[in-house]
This record gives sequence, structure tokens and C-alpha cells, in this order.
Amino acid sequence: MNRFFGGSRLPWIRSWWRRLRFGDIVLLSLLPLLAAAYLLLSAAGEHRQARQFDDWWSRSRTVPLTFASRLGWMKRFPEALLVDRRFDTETDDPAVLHLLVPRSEWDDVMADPATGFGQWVEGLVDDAGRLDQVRVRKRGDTSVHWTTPKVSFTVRTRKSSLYRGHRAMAFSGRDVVTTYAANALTREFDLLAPDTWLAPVFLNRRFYGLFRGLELTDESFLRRHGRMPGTIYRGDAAERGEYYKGLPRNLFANPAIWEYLTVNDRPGAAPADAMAALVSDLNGGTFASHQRVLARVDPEEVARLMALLLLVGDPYHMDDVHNQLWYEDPATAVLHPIPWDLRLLDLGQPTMRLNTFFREMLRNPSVVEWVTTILAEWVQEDRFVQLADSITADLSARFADYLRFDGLRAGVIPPIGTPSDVSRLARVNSALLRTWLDDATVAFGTGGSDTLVLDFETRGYAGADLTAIGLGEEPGRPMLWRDSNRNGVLDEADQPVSGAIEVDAGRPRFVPDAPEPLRAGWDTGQPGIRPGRLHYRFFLTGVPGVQVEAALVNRVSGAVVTPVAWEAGDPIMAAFSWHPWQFQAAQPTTRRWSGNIHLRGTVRLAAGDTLVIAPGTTIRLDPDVSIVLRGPLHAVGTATRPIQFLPADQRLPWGALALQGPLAGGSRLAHVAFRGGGGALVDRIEYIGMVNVHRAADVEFRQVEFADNVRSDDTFHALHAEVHVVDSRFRNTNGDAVDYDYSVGTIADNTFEDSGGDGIDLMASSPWIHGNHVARSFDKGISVGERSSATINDNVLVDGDIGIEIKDASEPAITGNRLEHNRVAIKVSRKNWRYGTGGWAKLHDNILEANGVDVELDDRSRVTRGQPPAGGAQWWARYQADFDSPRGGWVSGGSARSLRKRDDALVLAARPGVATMTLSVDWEVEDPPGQLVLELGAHALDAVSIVLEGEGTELEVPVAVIDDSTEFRFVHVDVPPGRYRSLTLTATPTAADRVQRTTGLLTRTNGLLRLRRMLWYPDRGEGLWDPFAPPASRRP
Amino acid sequence: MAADWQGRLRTAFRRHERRLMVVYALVVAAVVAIVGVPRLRSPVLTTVQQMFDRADRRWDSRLRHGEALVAEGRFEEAATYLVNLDSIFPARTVHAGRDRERERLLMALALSYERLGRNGRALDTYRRLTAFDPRNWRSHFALAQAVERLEGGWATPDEAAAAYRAVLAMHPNHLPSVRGLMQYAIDGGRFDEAMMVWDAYLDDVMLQLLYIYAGDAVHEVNVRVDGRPQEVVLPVRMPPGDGHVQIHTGGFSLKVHEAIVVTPQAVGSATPTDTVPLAVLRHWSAGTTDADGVLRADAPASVVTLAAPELPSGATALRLRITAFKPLDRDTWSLAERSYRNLLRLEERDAVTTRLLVHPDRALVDSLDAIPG
Repeated sequence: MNRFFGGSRLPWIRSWWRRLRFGDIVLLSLLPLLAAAYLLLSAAGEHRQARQFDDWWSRSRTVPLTFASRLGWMKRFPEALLVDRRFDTETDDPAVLHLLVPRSEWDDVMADPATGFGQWVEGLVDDAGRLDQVRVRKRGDTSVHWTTPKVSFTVRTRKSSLYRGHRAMAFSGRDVVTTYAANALTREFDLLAPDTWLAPVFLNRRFYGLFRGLELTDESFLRRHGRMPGTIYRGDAAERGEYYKGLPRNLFANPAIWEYLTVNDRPGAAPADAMAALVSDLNGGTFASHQRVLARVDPEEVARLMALLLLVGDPYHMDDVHNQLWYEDPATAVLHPIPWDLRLLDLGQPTMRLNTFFREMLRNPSVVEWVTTILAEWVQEDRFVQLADSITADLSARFADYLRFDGLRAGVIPPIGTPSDVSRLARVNSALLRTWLDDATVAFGTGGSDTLVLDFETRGYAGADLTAIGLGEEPGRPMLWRDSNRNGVLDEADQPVSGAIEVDAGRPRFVPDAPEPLRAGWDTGQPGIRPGRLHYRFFLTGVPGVQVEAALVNRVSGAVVTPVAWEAGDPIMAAFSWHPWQFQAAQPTTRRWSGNIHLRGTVRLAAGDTLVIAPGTTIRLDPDVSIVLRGPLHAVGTATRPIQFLPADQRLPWGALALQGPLAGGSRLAHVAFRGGGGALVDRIEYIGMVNVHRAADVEFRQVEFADNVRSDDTFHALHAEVHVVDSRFRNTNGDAVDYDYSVGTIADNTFEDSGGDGIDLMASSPWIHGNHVARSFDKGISVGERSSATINDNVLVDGDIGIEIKDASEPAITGNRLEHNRVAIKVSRKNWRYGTGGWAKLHDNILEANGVDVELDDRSRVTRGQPPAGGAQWWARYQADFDSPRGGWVSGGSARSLRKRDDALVLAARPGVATMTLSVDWEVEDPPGQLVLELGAHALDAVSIVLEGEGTELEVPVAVIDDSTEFRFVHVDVPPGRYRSLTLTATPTAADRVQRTTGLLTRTNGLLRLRRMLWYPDRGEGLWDPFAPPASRRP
Repeated sequence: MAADWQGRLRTAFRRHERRLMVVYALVVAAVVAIVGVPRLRSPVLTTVQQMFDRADRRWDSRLRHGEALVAEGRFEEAATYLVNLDSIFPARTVHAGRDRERERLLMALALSYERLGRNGRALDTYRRLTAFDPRNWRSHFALAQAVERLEGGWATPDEAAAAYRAVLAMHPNHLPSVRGLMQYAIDGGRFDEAMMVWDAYLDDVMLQLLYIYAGDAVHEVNVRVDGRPQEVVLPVRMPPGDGHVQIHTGGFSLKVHEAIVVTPQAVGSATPTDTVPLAVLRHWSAGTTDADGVLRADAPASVVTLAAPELPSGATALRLRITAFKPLDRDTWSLAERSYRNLLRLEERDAVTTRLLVHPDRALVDSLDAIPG
């Protein structure tokens, strides 16, 4: 080198070399050496840190890999810096989570992966300027969540300030995009799935990473899904700290290792029993145990879940050892799976066997067929690909910079996936599933002479329909028989297949009246899912010696299937699946009761069976004896010959009468009296009323008397039902007289006297309540709670504690009622924090007289006055913080300070001057004119007006302002014919500068205009304007 | 003298400065090459990693050394050594990769304390063991046993009973804990409580994995171990010829009430499905057979062999009617019997005996845990 540089022909090189000193070289080399040292040390450090754990992620963090990752990050760092500079740390995008935590505490808990488990850090969430207290802790089951600079965490809010309506949320930094896409699909499959979203997280005003937010499953989750609080089982035995050492980890072989996220502690229905029974039946290995498994779940729901899992390519991750969440509905005792931690993978690369539960369910060819039918809807018209593309397009547009930044950190943080991964995998899986659905292979072989034996075996993923049997030249008088009992020979137990002879191109064919289904079976005994074999034997008589041909079509696609030859004499092996012919449908029966009946044991009527009770019948029930009907009940007495349900022992209550399930729909009861029941728990189903309707529609009680029930919470209980209770009488009831949970229908013209609790109690229900007389209720005359939206009109409520109470996100329209002599006539309040807000009453034209307090309102509740719009009419726009779009298409102007969806309305904050919010519209209003209804609230505003601008027309309507943060008003605007282009609301705030007493600082209060809803009536002439006309479907 | 050396060094440095620069530059170039060229980098970094891994493995050898000290009865030395190891052991949480090693460490330390007569410290160490991973039933059981040993007088201490309950909450079929808790209840004259423990043991779902060899395949079947007859229907593919079926019971006692194979139908042939009964041919390995055909298993390797005389067309399904019995020893049964007697539930006692198979060897029965997790 000395010779090379020193002897160079170029003088400047010689001169440079002569002047160069050792110190210069050291200085020049310092940067690369330091960089190399840093890379080596940090890679070794990361490896050492990861080595503390022993899972898939830590094992993958070798020194060479971590070194390469950090080297890559070093190269991409300048670009990352540029992206980082583009982040708006003050963005009001509602998707962004601004987390503020004490840095040192955060580092104490999060920086050291080996400590801090379960330890909370106190922090704040900045929700557009409002600071809500939260607690944060690290989460996850493997080191991928703890050993990188992007740590997964759990956020828990206070009860008073939920975030996105949730109190507990998980934020996971791994496979964010692909996992989000997979889990977002659950919305399309009508499954009980937790809310999930993408959340860019800013930690102390610096971008921390793009995370997938996930609602944690608890009672709030159930309520959000319209489910009664019940037990949620959790099975997770995969990772250290979660599994039970020294015990079988297979959740479906060991019921003792399941845990409970929520527990419904019904007496006599211990939560452990349901899972123990399911596990026992799953391992029963017999057809009877398979049928019991079917009864414990909703097979169609399981089929939807399986179809979803196949589409996302990951039917294996909800496996025997983890990701198992199940909810037991106390109203049906049915277990519902909760999809958890779905991943988006290549379905063509199965890694393991399906879990024990799925294997058992897929032994049922009907479940397989439901799965294939659902899959066909999603893959044959590329619906799945289109949905995946739309999800990726949305998130690419909204989160481009965040995706870019985390993408640049690849290798240093957990992989996040890319939108293109989502699209690619959607295409790969769709293509593979299409090949499955096209595969309806059927083997066909024959034998015999007088009686022909026709043997079919399905060998594909999809089943086939036997549409015809070609009969050679001679039609004869053929009869086709199924080998129904599958004993191999034609005997009396075998069923004929009805059909007729048709001649096609001069050749006779036997064509069944309905195509004979040959359902496919799937073999799940090995890793992955393979087509199974399912044998169907038919006998053909009346055409001796004829050469037959089978005409088959694919049951999913309808394509013609050419059968493959099956050699006579080949052995027919047993199938993995249960045979469809084993499932015998029960014939519905009708039972009739009359005279005096004494029931000494609980009566259960099977699904579809009908019970008819004659007028004048008296049914006496022994203590705790119940009647559970899964079919319709017709108990129609007369005024002179009523039907009575009475206790056999006057000192002890009987149980409950229950109309259970959809097949009990259409039941009719009239002139019936129920006395002395006490509720019951039958077959793990909780009946909290003396009379109960669960999940049945179109049930009517007319002129029925309910009285003297004891023990039970309710006298009459409707759950997920459509029930009409009309012209009936409730007296001396133990708790609530009528309780509607998640139900609709009518409660009309009834009399309620001396209810031990509420007269009418609603939870998440919207019946039409009118013409009732409610007197002397111990608690509330009408209680409207938990997101109910009933129409309550023309009722009389007297001498009660509270006339009507409206709670917890309920928004009933209350008009034309008379409330007298109550301690409180109308109370609007928040009672249950899970709903985030209080009640919201729409009050109009009620008569309140001689009450202690007329209207009582807490600070979380609202009232809207003015004539409410028609019952059943659809709101055009309802504003609340939905995190999807900040402003719902509105644009602020003038002196507006901000415009944003907040909690329950779109809020315009106005500085002094005139603030505006404008929505572009395209309305063509013809004659007769339409009407616009807005639900508006105002605070610290002098003037508000509504301006409609169009081509050559301008309509400005001033609004009378109510300066109250808790009160709203319905504003009706008649809109004359014309074409309109924009709708503008203007707000002029009051000058409200004031000096704070404690600080002496001058504060300026912004005026606030709140828009809750908008409704457009295109034509007033069609009778829409009767504000309380109930929808036709609700009329009794 | 020193100045002289410095002067000489300076002179030597100046004389060789160019060479040093060249050597230094080459070293830097080598480092940069190693960093930049993956082919060169990989072996170097792998060597670095191996160094780390070697250093990591020393924890295993140190732990083994501590355990060896305990095994040799050098408890004082073991305690000192293990206390030190405990303070520097890397697994601080159950999520860590060496969680089982830490549990072994604590167990050895507790044992050392116990043998040294430092009972308080021993129990504290057992409690630390249960706190480290509350989901390890063996830790709770060790605590229960230690409390009984160290604090037990004429009756079972409350803390031992609590630990037994903790075991049964996650492992309801752990017979020694059932026995311990029943004893605790009976010591206090609470026979109804003892019966609740006994009833729970009898009725809790317990499944045992049987390996059934039929044809050329092994079938894994979970059967209920509850002393009640149950059906097992298994699709099998047995070729024509010898019809042997083996059932590996995993050490559980078993009664085969009925065993039949179903012969296959043939394509195009209207011959009825046939069934062929299998006979219990012999019990292999450890096990004795009662007069009524019950295999009383004596070891986890117990096997039942069933056979048909001949299967000319093979078999397509296997149907079994069997009863698997929960492990039960004489001591536990005598506790249960005593409770039945004291509560005057003699009819129930008589009825339940049909579900039981009392084994004389308590140690063997206690060893029949569930399948290792």
C-alpha cells in the first residue's frame, strides 16, 4: 500500500499519502468501526434478551439474523426519518390512539422483557383534547410481543370514560395488517366476534407503531352483541404461564383446564358442567354422542365459522391447545364459538390436524355441505377477493405512512404484513377452494340381476346429486330403493325413492322427483382436510338385467359429474363421516290437553310438536314442575271457560311455562290465567319468569291474567322474541310484571297493579307500549334500559315510585302519556357503565301532574323536546363517535374552531363570529314538498339557523335556541320543491368571556352546536307523519 | 529511564507508522467486509452466538451440580450453593425459557432446607415454588406434602388442605390429593365434606387415551374413565386374515364387555353386513384378569389382545363395549367407606361398588396420573 500510494504517478496522491498520519486513519475508520461494533453488540444483546425465552420467536432471533435486521434498518433509517417527519402528532384522526405515559415507568415495565408482567402503568389517552385516565400493561403469550421496541399492550379505561365503547382493549403489534383483515371478515359471517380495528399509536407524541386493536371479551362484549350475560369459557394451554404443567393440554380432552372470562352463576348450572359434557360427548365416539354434540351447539354457526376459517386459510390455529373461546347462552344452553386470533395464511399448506371439535362436526355431511354452500357464495363470484381488495384499499389509503414506517423497521419489530399479502392470499385461497368445490368425484358400480345393486361413493370435497338413472333400452317398471338401514340387502326397512320414467333421446330414464343427494364426507383424521369416502347403496327393481347409467351433477356448482368406475366385488370400507341416512327426522305430533290435568314431572315437548289445550282445562303443577315447549302452543279459552295454570300445592310454586325456540313461534294464548309459578332452571336454561318466551316470534297473549308468582324475578319474560301482550292483567306480581330483553312486539291496553318491581322492564328492546294502565308499581312503572328504543304513548302511570325511567343509551319516544302522583314522573339517568352514556328521552305532549319531581336528569343523560318523527321511520343520518370518519362528510367554515363526532353527536365548536358546517347534497324535491327533521342541541349560542342552498333557491330557517348542554330539540323544516346542493348550519356564539375565580385567568367558552340526527321525509302526503303509527309488523 | 523508553517507542512508531497504517487499514477493511458480506459475516456471527449459547448452558450444569449435592446428602453445601444460584438464575418469570429449571432449583433448595431442619425456610421455598407457577399442580402437591410432613400433628394442617384443593382445582383426578383432602375432612369429623370430595372424584370427567391396534393402523381413542360401560365405534381397515386387535390401556384397568368387528360389503353384491365377535385372547405385560374378565392393570404397559378366529373378508369397523375404571387404592376406599357408614349412606355405597376396582398397590395406583402434559 505504501508502495502503491507513495509510488503513484499522480502527485496529489503521493502528497496525500505523505501527509496522512495514523491518527487520521483511525479517525476516518471510526464511523464504520463504531457502526460495526454497535451492530454486533446490539445484535448480541437482542439475541441474549430473546434467549431468555424459549418460543418460536426467540428461537428465530439468532445473532446472524438480528445483525442482518439491524443492518437493514440502518440502511433504511434515513428514509424512515423522512416518513417520521410527515407524521402529524396532533392529528384528530379518530383511528389514532394518543397515549401519554410517564416515560420512566413505561420503560420499567416494557423495556425489560423478563419483568413487569401484570404490572400496570398509569397513563392518559388524548381523545381530541379530552384526557381520559387509563392503565396500560404489556400483553401477549410469546416473546414476539415483549422483546422488540414495539411491545404489545393492553389498555384499560375507567368506567366513566370508555374508549371506542370498550373498557379493556388489546393492542397487538404482530402481523397487524393480515390479522386485521382476517378478523375483520368475521363481521360478514354473523359470528360472535370481538371488535377489531387498526390503530396507529402515538406514545408521548411520537409514533410508536401500527397496532391491531382488539376488544377483550367480557360482559360488555356480550351485551354489544345482544347476548344475555353468560359464561365465556377460555381455553389456552399453548404457552408458558398459560398451560397447566403435568396435565393433558388437549382442551377437548381435559375440561379441568378451561377458565372462565365471565361466569353466570346460576344455581344448579355450574359452568364447568357444560364444558365437561361437551368434552365427554366429543370423545364419545358413537352416533348418539355425535347427536348430543349437535344439540349443544348451533351447527350452522359452526359451518359459517369453518367456511370463514377456510377462506382465511387458517382452520388450524383455533386448535386443541389454544385460541378457544366459547359462550354459553343461558337462554338456550347452546355453546357459541368466538373466533379468536384468526390469521391469514395459505390454505394449501396445512400444518396440523383440525381440533377435536371441528373434526367431530365435520364428520357430519350436512355440516360439510353447509360449509361448501357458504364457500361457494364467497369464491365463485370472487366476493372474497373483492372484499379483501376493498379492505386493503381502505387501509392503504388511510394508513399509508404508518404502514411505510413499520415496513421500514422490518426485522427490528415484529412483522406487520402488507396489504398486498392480504390480496395475494385471498386469491390463493379462493383459487384453491374453487378446485375443492369443483371436485365432486363419485365412484359408481353395480351388480346383481333381478334386483340391481347400485353402489355410489362420494370421493370429492363437494357432494353430487343423482338426477337420473339411465335404463338402457327397456323402461320396464323400475323402483328405486335406498338401503336406508345400510345392512346391504333390500328389506322392509328400506325407503323407496319416488320418481318417474322419462324418455330422453329415445332412451328411458328413471328420474327421481327430487334429486337424490349424495353428500360428501371430509376426512380430517390427518393434517389438513382431504376428501373422504361416503358410500350410498340403492336397489333397482322391476328392470332385471338392465344396463344402468347414473346421471350426476355437482351439488354446489351444478356441473355435470361423470362417475368413475367402481369394480364389482371391491370391498366397501367404513367412512370417517356419519352417514346422512343415519339422521332420521322426527315426525311432528300434536298433543291435546283437556279437563283437569295434574303434572308431577316437567313436561318437555320436542321441537315442532304442538300442544293444544282445550277451553276450561285446569292444569295443576307440582312444586318446581315446568312445561317447556319447543313447538307451538294453542291455549285459547273463553271468557266463561278460561284455561288455568295453578300450583298443585298452594304453599309451593310450580316452575315455569316456556315457549322455547323458533318452532314455538305462532303460539296463541287467550283467556288463560297463570298463578303461583316460580321460574325454573331446566336443562341448563334459565327461565326467570313464570311465563317465558325465548327466541320465538309472533307469539300472542290476549286477555291473559298473570298473578301471584313467587320467587322468580319476572312474571312474564320475553327474550330475543317477538311477543304481543294485549288486553291482559298483571296483579300482585313478585318482581317485574313484564320483562322484555332483546325483544320486540306490543304491550298494549294492559292493566298492571301492585307490581313488586317494575310494571314493564325493557332491556335492548323496542316494543310499542300504549294504552296501558300502570298503578302502584313498587319501583318503576316503565323502565327503559340498556339501549332500548321503545315507542311509549297514551299510557297512564299513577301512584308509583318512578313513572318512567330511561337509562343507558336508551332513546324512547314518550308522548301523550299521563303521569300522576309518582315520586318522580320521568327519570333519565345512567345506571350501567357498560353502555357509556345515560338515557336519552324524547318527550312530547305528556301530562305530568302532582308528581314529587316531574323530570329528573343526571349529567350523562339527555332529553329532546318537540314532536318526534314517526315511529319506525328510518333515520337518514345518526352521528356518534364511530372512528370511521371524523366528520361524516361535513365541512366546517367561518369561525369554527373544530368539527368532530364526539360521543353522541357531531359537534361544531364555534369561536366568536359565525361558524358554519356544510354538507354537500343533491336533493331533487318535487311536489308535494318534503320535510327535514334535525335533532339539535346548543350551548352558549346566540343564534342558529339552517340554510338550504340550491339552484336559484335559498331557504334559511332560524332555530329557537335552548342553551342547555343536556337538552336537544327536534327541528322541522318544510322544504319546498326545488333542487338543493348544500345544507348549512350556522352558529353564532354568545360573548362569554369570564374571569376564573381561582386563577384570575380570562377564559373564553366556545359555543357548541350539536347535531344528533337528521331525517328526511320525501313526501308528507303518504301518512308518514303520524308520529306514533307503529310499523305494520308490530300490530297485534 | 521511562523517558528513554517513550522516546524509543516514539521513534519506532514513526519508523513503522506507514506499515502500521497499512495493517490497521487492512483490519478495518476486514471488519467492514465481515459486516458487509453475508458470506463472511455468517460464520463469524454464528461463532459469536455459539459462545453465548455455551455460556447459557452453564446454568444447566450448575443446576445439576446443586441437585447432585442434594442427592449426595451434602445439604449444607447444597443450600449455600443453591441460594447463590437462585439469586443469579436467569429465569425470573414463568414465561422464561428456563422455568422448569428454576422449579427444579427451588425444589432442591426446599429439600435441602427440609433435611437441614430449617422448616420455616423449607416451607417458604415451597410456597415460592407455587407462586412461581401457580399452574403446576406438582408444586402445590409438594407444598401439601411438605406441610403435612413438617407441620402435621394428629391431623392434616389447613395449609396442606388448601394446597390439595389447589391441586384438585386443576387436576380433579389426582388420587393422592383426593385421599389427602378426604383425610383432612375426616380428621375434623366432617364426613359430608369427605363425601363431596369423593363424589367429585367419581364423577369428574376423566379421559384416557387408548391406543387400539387394528389392521395396520393405530387408532387413538379417548375413553371415559368412570367405571361405567360405554360404546366405542371405530372405522378400521382390517385386511382379510388374522383378526387381532390390541388395546393399550395406558395402565388403566379395563373390562371388555363385548367386542365385534363388522365385515365389509362388496360393490354390487347384496350380501348382508356381517359381524364377528372377538374374544379376549390374553393380557400382555403386567396385568391380572379377574374371573369376570376385568384387566387389573399393574403397569402402564398393560395390553389387552382380542382376536377373531378368522376374517376372510377383513373388517371395516370395530365396536367395543368397555368399562374403564378410575384408579383407586384400598386406603382411599376405606376413607370413602367410612364416610358412607358415618353418613348412613349404605345403599349408595353398595351401588357405587359396581363402578370401582380397588387395587391393592397404592404406590402403583398413585403413579397412574393422567397423560403427561
